[in-house]
Amino acid sequence: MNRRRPDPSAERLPVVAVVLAGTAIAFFAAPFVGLLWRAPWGDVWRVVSDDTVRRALVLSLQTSIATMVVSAIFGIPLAWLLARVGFPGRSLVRALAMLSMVLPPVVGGVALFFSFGRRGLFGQYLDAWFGIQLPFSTPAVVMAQTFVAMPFLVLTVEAALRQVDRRYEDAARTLGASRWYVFRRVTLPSIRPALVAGLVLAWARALGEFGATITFAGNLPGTTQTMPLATFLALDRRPEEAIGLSMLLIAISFTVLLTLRDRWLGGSPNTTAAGAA
Amino acid sequence: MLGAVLIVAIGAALGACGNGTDEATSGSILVSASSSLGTAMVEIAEAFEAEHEGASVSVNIANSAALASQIDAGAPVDVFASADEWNMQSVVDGQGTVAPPVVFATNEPRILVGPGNPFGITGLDDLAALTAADPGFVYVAVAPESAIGRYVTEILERAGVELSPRSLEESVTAAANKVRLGEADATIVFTTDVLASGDRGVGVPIPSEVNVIATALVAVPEGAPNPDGAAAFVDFVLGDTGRAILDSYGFGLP
Repeated sequence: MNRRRPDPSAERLPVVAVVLAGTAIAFFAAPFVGLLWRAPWGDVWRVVSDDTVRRALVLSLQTSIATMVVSAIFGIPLAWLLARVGFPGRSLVRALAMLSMVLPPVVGGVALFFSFGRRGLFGQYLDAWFGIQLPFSTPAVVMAQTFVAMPFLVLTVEAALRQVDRRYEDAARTLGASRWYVFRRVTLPSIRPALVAGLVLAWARALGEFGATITFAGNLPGTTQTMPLATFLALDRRPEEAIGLSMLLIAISFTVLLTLRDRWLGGSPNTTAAGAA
Repeated sequence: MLGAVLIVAIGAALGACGNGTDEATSGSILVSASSSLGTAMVEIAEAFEAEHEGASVSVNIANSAALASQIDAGAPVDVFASADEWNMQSVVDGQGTVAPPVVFATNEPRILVGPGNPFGITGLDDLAALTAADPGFVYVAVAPESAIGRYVTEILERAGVELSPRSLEESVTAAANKVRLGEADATIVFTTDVLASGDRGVGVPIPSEVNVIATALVAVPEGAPNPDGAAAFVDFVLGDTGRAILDSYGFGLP
């Protein structure tokens, strides 16, 4: 049956809304246009293949992907706990998990510093008992990034889990599926758009992390100097390098966001569990 | 970065004021000072305000290179106090200064170690030996682009010593804090930073044959919004009160 449904793209916004939206678009576009205008186009290849830039790029990609994986491993169970299990103090736990998302990253870095640094509350035992010193190491970069990025994944997945139609899960259980099977083959696919969005958000947040990283992990090319750190330090003496790094970051992020566009939107609005098929 | 935001905010405020200066020392004066000069400059600014009714001095603190870039980009800075001559020179060559820069203080690089000097460091050679041999020993440096970074590069060249840092901190304060908080075991900063550590750090001198004395220069950039106020402030820095304050922080005086 062909019912004529109003095509969303044909809706007309009031002029005021269009103007405001247009201003917003201009606001987002203008900084990038300014950057592209100043980019050293003739030298781009030389700048981008510079040793410092390459090492920062590799380190950034490695650490941000590691952060995404760690966030998923620990964040999905946390999201499930917060979404499905009512326990005393749940709001407190949720607030705690989200806190680092709201705080300025440098505050997170300072907190990590004083708890896991060499003289930190926990760090001093790590050092004394295991000889582990976290600051100035690559794992510290992942820690700093995870601290700020994981809440994004937890938030997105928790919201999605709350909205999942539990009847599919219940049906699967009554048909004899194990809980792990139900999670893997029913729950996760039904929250796939939100899960992907959460993973991408966490990855992007980790890629751009600066304040917590430089405070806790330090800054050393090849070990802890991620692209944001390299960009900041290059800005003073070597602005072309800073611009090159900035353009690389923008290109990577933009590409990822573009290719995942369809996943984000998850199909037309009236598909929920059906959209997982 | 914070300095840039501060510049924009203060620039907007200054633009909104637009007051005529019939009294040279009234009105707003914006001073850009390098990190190692920061605290002393703030105290000098407060003393200036106490002595000159109606004057309002804001001190913008960042590393010298960032400040020089801001001035070259047209920031409305009245006075530039630089911890090194290179960045002052780049302002002279770029934006230009109303009068040639004047040396107003000197600062000597010094090794900073934790309280009690637990590793018994007596000089650069000890530092080199420890960074090479002991993986648990943490030496941090300040980014080579900074004023202290360039001095350290020269000092190490003169001494024929190589040090591998675990981190290139963004400012002297950041590096000094790591040592003061026990996160790092040693760094090379200015004497003023060593003194500012109080009992959380101990200084180890660097032999004068290899050491490089940093000269801090002050100048009024071309295009300063308040050149009369700026000149008055520079005179104040070079005068008795200014020198006394600088001396109390551990600066050398020309």
